[in-house]
Amino acid sequence: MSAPNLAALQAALQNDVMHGEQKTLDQLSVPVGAEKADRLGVYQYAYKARLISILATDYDTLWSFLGDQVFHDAADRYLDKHPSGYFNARWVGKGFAEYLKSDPMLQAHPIAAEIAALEWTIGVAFDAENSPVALMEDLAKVPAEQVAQAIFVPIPACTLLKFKTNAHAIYTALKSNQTPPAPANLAEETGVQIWRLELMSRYKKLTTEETALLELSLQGADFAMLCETAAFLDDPDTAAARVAGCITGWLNTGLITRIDIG
Amino acid sequence: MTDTYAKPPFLGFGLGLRAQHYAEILADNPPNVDWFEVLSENYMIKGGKPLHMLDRVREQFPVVMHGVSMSIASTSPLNMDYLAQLKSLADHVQPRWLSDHLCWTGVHGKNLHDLMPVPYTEEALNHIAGRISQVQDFLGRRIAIENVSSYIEFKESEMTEWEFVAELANRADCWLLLDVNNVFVSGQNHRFSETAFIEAIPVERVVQFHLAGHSEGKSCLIDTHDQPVCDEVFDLYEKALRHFGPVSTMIERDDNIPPLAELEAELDRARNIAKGVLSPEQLRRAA
Repeated sequence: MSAPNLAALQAALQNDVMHGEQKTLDQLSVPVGAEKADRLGVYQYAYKARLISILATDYDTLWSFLGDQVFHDAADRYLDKHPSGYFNARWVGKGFAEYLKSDPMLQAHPIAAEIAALEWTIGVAFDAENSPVALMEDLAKVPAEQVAQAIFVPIPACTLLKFKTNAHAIYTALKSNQTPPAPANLAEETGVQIWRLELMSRYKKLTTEETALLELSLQGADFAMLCETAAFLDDPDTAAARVAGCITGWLNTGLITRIDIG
Repeated sequence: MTDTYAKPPFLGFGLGLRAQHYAEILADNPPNVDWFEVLSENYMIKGGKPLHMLDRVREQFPVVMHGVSMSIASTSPLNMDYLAQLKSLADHVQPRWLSDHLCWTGVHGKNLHDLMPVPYTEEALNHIAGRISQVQDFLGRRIAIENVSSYIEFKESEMTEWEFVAELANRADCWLLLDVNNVFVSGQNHRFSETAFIEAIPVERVVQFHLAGHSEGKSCLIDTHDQPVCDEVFDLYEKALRHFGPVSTMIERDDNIPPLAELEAELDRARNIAKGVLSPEQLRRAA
């Protein structure tokens, strides 16, 4: 048999490692007394073990929630369906939350995908792009006649997730080593804001109105639009004051990077 | 301005920078560590705490960068996105040098996230040397290439690993990072003489030593980096020092990471071995 070229050898060996096959055994060389299959097996075992370990680190709360076997099996199915194409192992788990929505064993339990989404997003906020933070004094500099056009731009590390389950409560309990509540569907979809403050990721459950205001701000809406939405959602007479209160909270917790005038 | 093609200086005795040790490293009484090696991929991010801490560490210590994703031996095209991010990080960190492994990590858009070995053939030699040259041109600096641990070899190999590594360094005109533990692990797994390996490597090419721990698998030694450096690897380190003279040395621990003091103690053992092998004049001149 002629020697395969380097490209063919790499493709065949990769296939063996990923799929547990042994088509390259004839091309391998091991010392007398050693078994080629055992040596190839080192790479085969390490492949899945390494990637599942990365997922277990990135999703350690989900792992606690699901238990060892259920988490391991779900991670194994995810990697079979979505082998990594990322050069950086940091991103191997990027699609795991989305995958869980259609995982054959967990799609009936949307709580798993929502805990995963929260956990991943908190991780992403941790090393998201740095940015300046706007303060209350920046708001004071906005001329009164331009306040209606003021756009409060969230920092790059800010994300809004919307949950149909009590994933937030379960995640919080598990993170504090408390017994989590039973999984449950919420009466209405609830927003959770994830961001970074002073080098640490944070998350916060929002009211319906806060969710709408943050979602609009992430889309570039101005103060007038925020007030219109607040007026639609609740008492129109206090809408502007409620929006102002919400924005004050954002500015005091490092959520806004700058104030643009639209 | 630093000449990024000139042979870098002897930095002394270093450790891998790990998040668990940030606070101790930056405390009022800094550890007895001369320099730190950072895993490039851990800092290929946009911002936040890791980069913040790295910036603080590099204010106080020399830093070198070590990657796992260059996939220099892959037959897939070089990943220019990766190289652009690596260059950008190197521009920011200003490392004394940067390194990656003599391996491939995947082909056809897939990544095994493992350090896969190559056959020691003329074809592989030409292929990899050409890619190292391309990378060095792109980065504007010489890079260091590290020998890996392996569990298999290939029937088609036409030369020994050490002949391959030595010839590759000369053809690509790159530096070498000699991982002493990897020489030991591969030597045991493939039953070659670790001393023959070390003595075949050109002295002028080696800029760094790695010392690390390994584990005993069912059929061979496994390069796990989760154990202390064993006596046999320290013995081989002593032989390497006799052959190469002063070379920047570090303990590489990636898993089961102990308190910083334990790693400092291991590093002291390396220091003491170096003091026994090298004259004060050699160490002083190198430093």
